[in-house]
Amino acid sequence: MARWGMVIDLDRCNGCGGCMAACHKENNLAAVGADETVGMDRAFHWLKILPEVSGSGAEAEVRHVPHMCVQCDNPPCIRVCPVHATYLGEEGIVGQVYSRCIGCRYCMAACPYNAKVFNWYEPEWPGDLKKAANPDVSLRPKGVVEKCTFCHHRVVRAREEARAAGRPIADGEVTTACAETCPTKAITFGDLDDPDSRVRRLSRSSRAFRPHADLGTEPKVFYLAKKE
Amino acid sequence: MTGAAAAPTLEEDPVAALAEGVLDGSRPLEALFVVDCDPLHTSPAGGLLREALDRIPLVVSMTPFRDETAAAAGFVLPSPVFLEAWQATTTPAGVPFSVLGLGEPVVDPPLFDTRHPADVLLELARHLGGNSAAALPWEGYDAYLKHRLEGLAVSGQGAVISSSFEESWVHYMEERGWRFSKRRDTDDFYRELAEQAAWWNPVRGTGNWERLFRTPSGRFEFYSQNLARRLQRLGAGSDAEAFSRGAASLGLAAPVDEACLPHFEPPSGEGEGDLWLSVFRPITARGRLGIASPMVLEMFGYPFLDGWRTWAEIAPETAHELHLEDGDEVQVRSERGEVEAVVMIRPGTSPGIVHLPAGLGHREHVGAAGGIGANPLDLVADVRDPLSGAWSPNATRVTLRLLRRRDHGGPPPAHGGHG
Amino acid sequence: MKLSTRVGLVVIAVLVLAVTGAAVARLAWPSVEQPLAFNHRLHIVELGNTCTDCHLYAESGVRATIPNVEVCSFCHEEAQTDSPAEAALLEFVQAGEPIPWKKVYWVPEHVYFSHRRHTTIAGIECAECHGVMEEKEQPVSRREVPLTMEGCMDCHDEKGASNDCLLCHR
Repeated sequence: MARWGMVIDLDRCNGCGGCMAACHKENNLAAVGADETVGMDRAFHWLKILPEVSGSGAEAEVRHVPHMCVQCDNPPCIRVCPVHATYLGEEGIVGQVYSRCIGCRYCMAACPYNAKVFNWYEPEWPGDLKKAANPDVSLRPKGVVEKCTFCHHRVVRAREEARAAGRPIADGEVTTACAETCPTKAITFGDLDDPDSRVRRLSRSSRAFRPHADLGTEPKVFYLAKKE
Repeated sequence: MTGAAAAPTLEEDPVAALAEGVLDGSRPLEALFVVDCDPLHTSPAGGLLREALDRIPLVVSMTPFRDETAAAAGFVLPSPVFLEAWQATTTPAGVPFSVLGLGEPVVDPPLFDTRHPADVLLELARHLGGNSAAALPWEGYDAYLKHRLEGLAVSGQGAVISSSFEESWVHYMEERGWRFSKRRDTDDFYRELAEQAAWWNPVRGTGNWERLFRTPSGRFEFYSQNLARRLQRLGAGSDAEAFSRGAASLGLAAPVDEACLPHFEPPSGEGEGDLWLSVFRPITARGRLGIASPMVLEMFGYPFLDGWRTWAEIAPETAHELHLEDGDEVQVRSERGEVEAVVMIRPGTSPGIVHLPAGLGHREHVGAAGGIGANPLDLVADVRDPLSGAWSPNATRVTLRLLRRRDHGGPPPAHGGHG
Repeated sequence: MKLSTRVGLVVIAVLVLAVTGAAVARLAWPSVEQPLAFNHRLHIVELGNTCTDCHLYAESGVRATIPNVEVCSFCHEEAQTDSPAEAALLEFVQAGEPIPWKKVYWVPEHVYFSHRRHTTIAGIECAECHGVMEEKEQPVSRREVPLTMEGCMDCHDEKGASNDCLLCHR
């Protein structure tokens, strides 16, 4: 059984935002509009790009950190969910079952990565935008929490194709929308348990670190960055 | 403001030149067709053009979107979006070999009642008859594309990119060693190209060095030949002296030697204000579809997790000097106008400059974008780059004035105002 | 009545209620009246059609389809019998009006179900979820087999398919 993970090379990321747009499109993220985004700090993204600045003045160095749910192996969010709407899947993806979620937002409070977002209002799909929705991913109702799923539907689809062809899933066959779009190939997705996978090799690089590894959450998103 | 009195420039800003020609009567137009662009919104000379449109009897806008230019046009002929039309692209800048992409419409027929601008123009030519009809005999845009590709098909050069890499590779080897000139049937070539979407020729054909090396020395010259020739012509001659005369008449600040190389030409902007304005176009605001979609509006300013509004990037030093903080709402004012923006302090930005993103501030309802944010091009002063003639978007002086502190309303504190 | 007897009776009553309750729940899917008297047995057994001849995309797509006049008119452009049901169909065909079939099988919006995944890839017969249509002479007015989450999960268990929530709830 696979254990899905991701490696993001911060030295390759140039902050173009392609991953963010791909994620929105792939996962049917609704636009929440100006009032909420601007007035209430409720920007609605599964994947954000956080600027990280070191130094100042002419010496300032800006680094862009693509940031999403890190799919903890020991996720704090699932412990606080009173209705088991969020859970750790058998392949290591932290799932969010919208039909179970009661919108208490405990998981959002528990998440040290600030990775979850909440549908405060019924998502709007003006004009023909609903027709452009990805049929593999549901349109969420109001009152539920949502977050990055590591493009779980793509994993399922790849497994389906592999099964139809009677072979195992090859390394690199499943990839997330963000990784697929990235023009600098900064994002790598794959099976951390596959001894030959690229993602496993990169995750063991000397440049690799995990966000807030000290919390004991065991994230499966690794970052690569040059050593200071 | 008409730019007729502005300093002479080597080239002309196309939008400004068109508008000025119409306004001063030197280039009266009977009809203007605007195809797939929105100059009223995207050009700093948009204001001039808006005036000029009133003096053109027939203005037709062919666009998929209800944009500002369409709103000012007499007729709007809705055109399909890129997924609904044939399209061809040639070698992009920076690719060292020839490529050609041909895209079939994937949504056919188009979702709405639209027509490709080329089809409209071809039909107009047919109705005009005479020379126009003879010059444009094609039935439709795809027939025209096919005609343009005929030479490529017959030349036998390059290869249509095939799904199997080997095929291209073999062809590549053929190109290097053995030469087979494969004359291809145009219809077959076109069909194959439409299917595989691209053609490439990894090897530049030899034998036309005369065309490639039209330099005075007949060798590689690492400066712009075009600029040099134009400057000489301006100096009324064909020697180095004419070149210097030409360069001097434009008032170039750069030494003559550098004029035809990429160089920094300091802005000659005047006017009040202690900051320079810099207008940039974020990646989210490029292309015609982008800013119409609510999704893109939401990530317009994604590095700050804040879409839907115009922000003003300033350096921490500048912010400190002006007593501004992240998220404060300010007014940016130039001689030409004023816009509202939100302060975003960006370490690494040069002090003394305000960076404003272009792309918002549509006066018309373009998708979801109508009335959101501000168009910083409204601020840009009429200062032309001496060589390109473009309205220099970085030669405007502006002032920042605090309107509202972040999070709480009320009047700005006494020390907050500046300029 | 002894206390034990009374307890026994209560237990029996509860059991009976539970069993009939479950049975009622199974039958409680609203029964609908279809606009045409379609005879599945005739089309399958006597005429030799297969399910996917008319229910297009049941093997290749996420959603299967309920055939409407475009599909019916492959064969029924003109009357082939003197059956009144066919005459009624031909009225729709000739008017070019869609037959207002009433949908009997659906999954709620929060459930993702792919026909292709179940039919083509897993090799499950249509009858497992839709009942044996070869015997049906009357139009389908209610679910032959109840579609419940419990049923889905039991079958997944039996066939060794995953019961990961995200598989169906995404």
